[in-house]
Amino acid sequence: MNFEKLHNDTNCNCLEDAELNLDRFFARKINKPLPTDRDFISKWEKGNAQIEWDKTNCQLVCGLKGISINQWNEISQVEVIQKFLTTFRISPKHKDSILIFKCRGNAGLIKFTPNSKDNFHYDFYKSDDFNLDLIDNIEIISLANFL
Amino acid sequence: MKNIDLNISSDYQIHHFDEFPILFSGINNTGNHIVGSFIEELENYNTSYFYSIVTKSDFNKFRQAKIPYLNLMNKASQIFIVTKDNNEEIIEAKNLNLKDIPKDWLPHPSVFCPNPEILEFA
Repeated sequence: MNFEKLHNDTNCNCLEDAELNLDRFFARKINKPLPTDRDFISKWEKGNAQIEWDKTNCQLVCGLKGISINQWNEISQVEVIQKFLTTFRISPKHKDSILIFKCRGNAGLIKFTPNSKDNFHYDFYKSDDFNLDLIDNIEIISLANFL
Repeated sequence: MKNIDLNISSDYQIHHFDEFPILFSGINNTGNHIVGSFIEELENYNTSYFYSIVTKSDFNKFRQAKIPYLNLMNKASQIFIVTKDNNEEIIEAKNLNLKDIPKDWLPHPSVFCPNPEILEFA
């Protein structure tokens, strides 16, 4: 897999500890009915790269270059649904569904990046070849079902 | 109507974060108490938020999860829809009435402040 787009404007190695994972299920918030390219745009790609801040802070740089996803399994899903549902209750005009997916082939690499409020958080780093065909849509769950 | 500085300059707390600050509160440099929440990401990746100007008493009750967020918005002296750029800078603020906001934009009535303050405020 190639990651020239990921690394062409930083000296940070965002792929340290990142792994290929084609077996696990992951979750990401989207808008119904189907995921779009826009659902897999990193904050860096959205324009945060243009902001004046310390670009030697690799934790921050790589956080912005990664796409936030959550592990989805029997252990994680209660906490993950709760996080997304809290967001949906506060911001119902924002994303209304959860995409459960697996990566195919050379979609990209995944790094475990938990934090104090999100035990199952991962960063997904797209390869240069990433497109939505490399995402295997398993299920789309409407958050309104949980209200 | 007097212009209000909507930049939170002190006591900023993020009560829920999910890629963006979803629910937050703080005080501006003239002492106004502000509670804000994320509305949506716009086509150009700017973001929009509700900003409610509330009393100190309601602000404290909200942070202690004693009143729901929608109730707080109902009691706000002013509500703004604020647009921010990618640098989190406010680029536009529109003052409006709660009744003019589409209902499906508003927080669910069951929403209280997550992770509420334990201590009473002075």
